[in-house]
Amino acid sequence: MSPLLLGLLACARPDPVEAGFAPELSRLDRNADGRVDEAEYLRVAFAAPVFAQADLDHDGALGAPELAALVRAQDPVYFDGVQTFAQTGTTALAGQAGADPDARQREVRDLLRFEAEEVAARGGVVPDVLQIAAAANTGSLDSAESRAALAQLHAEATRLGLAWPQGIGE
Amino acid sequence: MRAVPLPLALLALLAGCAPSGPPPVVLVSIDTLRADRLGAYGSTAGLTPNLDRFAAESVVFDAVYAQANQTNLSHASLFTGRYASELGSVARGFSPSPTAPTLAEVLAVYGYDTAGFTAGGHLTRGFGLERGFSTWETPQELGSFFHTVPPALAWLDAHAADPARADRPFLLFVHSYDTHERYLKPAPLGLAETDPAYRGPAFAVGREANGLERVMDGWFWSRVGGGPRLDPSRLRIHDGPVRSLGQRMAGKPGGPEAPAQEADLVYLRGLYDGAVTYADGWFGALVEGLDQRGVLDRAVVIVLSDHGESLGEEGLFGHSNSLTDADLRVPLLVHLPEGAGRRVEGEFALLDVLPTVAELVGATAPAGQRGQSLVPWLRGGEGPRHEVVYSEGPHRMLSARSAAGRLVFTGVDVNAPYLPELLRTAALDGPAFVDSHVPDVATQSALRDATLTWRSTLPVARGGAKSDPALVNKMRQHGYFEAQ
Repeated sequence: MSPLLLGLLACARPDPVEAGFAPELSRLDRNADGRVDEAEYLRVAFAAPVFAQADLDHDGALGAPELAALVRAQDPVYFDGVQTFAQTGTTALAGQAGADPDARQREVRDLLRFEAEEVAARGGVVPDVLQIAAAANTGSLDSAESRAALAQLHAEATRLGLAWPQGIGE
Repeated sequence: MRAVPLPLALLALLAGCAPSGPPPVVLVSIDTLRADRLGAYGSTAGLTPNLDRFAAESVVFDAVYAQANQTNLSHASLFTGRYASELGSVARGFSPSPTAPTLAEVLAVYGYDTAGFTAGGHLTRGFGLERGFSTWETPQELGSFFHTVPPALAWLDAHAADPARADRPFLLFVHSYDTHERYLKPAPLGLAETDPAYRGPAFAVGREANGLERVMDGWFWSRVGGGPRLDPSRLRIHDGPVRSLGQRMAGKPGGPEAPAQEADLVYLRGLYDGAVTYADGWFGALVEGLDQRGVLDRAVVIVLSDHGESLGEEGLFGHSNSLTDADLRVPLLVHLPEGAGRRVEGEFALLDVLPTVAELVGATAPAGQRGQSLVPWLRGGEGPRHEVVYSEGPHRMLSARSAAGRLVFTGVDVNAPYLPELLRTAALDGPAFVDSHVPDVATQSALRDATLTWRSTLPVARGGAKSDPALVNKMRQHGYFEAQ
């Protein structure tokens, strides 16, 4: 292949990380529509409530470029199923979530759902209002009652040695 | 599809202008990757689409065994073509003797630019594996391809852009600990093979550093504190086979926390498989990066692992506790510029890589190395092969494998003076030969004799260490010697 042709082709070549992880996306794509929607994502990633952040174009699904961005945003040394975006990914992707207020609300509920599950798994007490909100993915988190429950959950997580997601209940 | 930035296109032009000569060499080590997780080695789980696509255009060596079950020992054998016991004391603190030439040193003599990007651990600078590499970087301790692939590709770009180096061939070594514990890798891929509802004891173990040390003998153990030392060699000699320890100590102080149920083992294996998928994704990124730079069309690219991993077989997890096929059988894929794919059956050794690379680049393999060049097999013919492949490990282990069977011998240093007697007289179903499989007496005798012959050729073995009569007596009492 001539150097010139090689150079021209280089201009049209895909991102290596996107190319590398594109085949992996098919493992998650249960309905084979070429994308990973939230249900497919949450089936395996209950411990990483970052779908809203990873969905950069807010179309409700992750394509190959978004999966590549998600891979780049998560340093495996720091991932423990809880802290991924609290420690590494938030900076990389938070600014890209756009001005969608619902995205942040969904993110907070997802983070709390995981935190509540972790606390419960380690024998801690999860306040009722958060159990309801976490389970149903509904409910307001702005009331005085829910703020008190958040503080209680935070205390339980701290007592159990769990990290607390940044920006929640502060 | 995103376009590649213009500077990269210019670098590709420069790479394409490099003169012909000895080929560059790219050596990729995916630490702790089991061969049986690749589709190219029979897996139907679909964990490694990138590795399988690469294998389809490579020569795949079917049954390759590492010469050691620990990263520093195995990479030392890989880089020198010698057994670890020839290079130093086979123990966790091993560092290879500087007198044995390495692959990087040999290629540097022939004008190669040499660079290694490692994930640390035993490949951190200071353990001696960096010898011969002009660049040796560890971007992150106990890291991933996440940390080593980007700087490796950047090094290629810098090499191509530097007029003083662009005409020189290169040896590029890229290493990853992705499939080494801690297995847990970022979601979604790292968790794609696990049950999201699982909350058993393996949930915490899979998230802890060195958590697998707590999984042994089919039990989950607490951290070693007041409990027994879980040293397999000591246990095998003084306290009976490892397998029964948990049963004897269940319910007692210092005993195990809980028996490992099948669901627990499935979860751990799922974390490992998720790590395999994650590593495969980054491997695909590396190959794409090599292809974009024109390297795949002109380099010899070798992909391997330094050892495997036990995932509950024989009640053990990890890779430093045994020399089973799970611990030692590794993938070996050799991609030549012409890119033709084929499969080579039969037993081979990782220490064959050094003489193979030497022959491919036109270099002379160093004297004293014990590998056999695979070039005849790469060219479609046949070449010499090892009748028996030997491996070693800390905790006083060694194994001998042939097409007919394997002897896995534990509890004795390879240079212990009583080893010949033990090999000649110990019962095959006794504690000395745990994990061995031989179909008949003739195979057993052949492997024993071959091991003794091999041992006699090792420089360390000729020295002869003093024996400990108390230890020998203890071994006799525990049935290690057939004659009582």
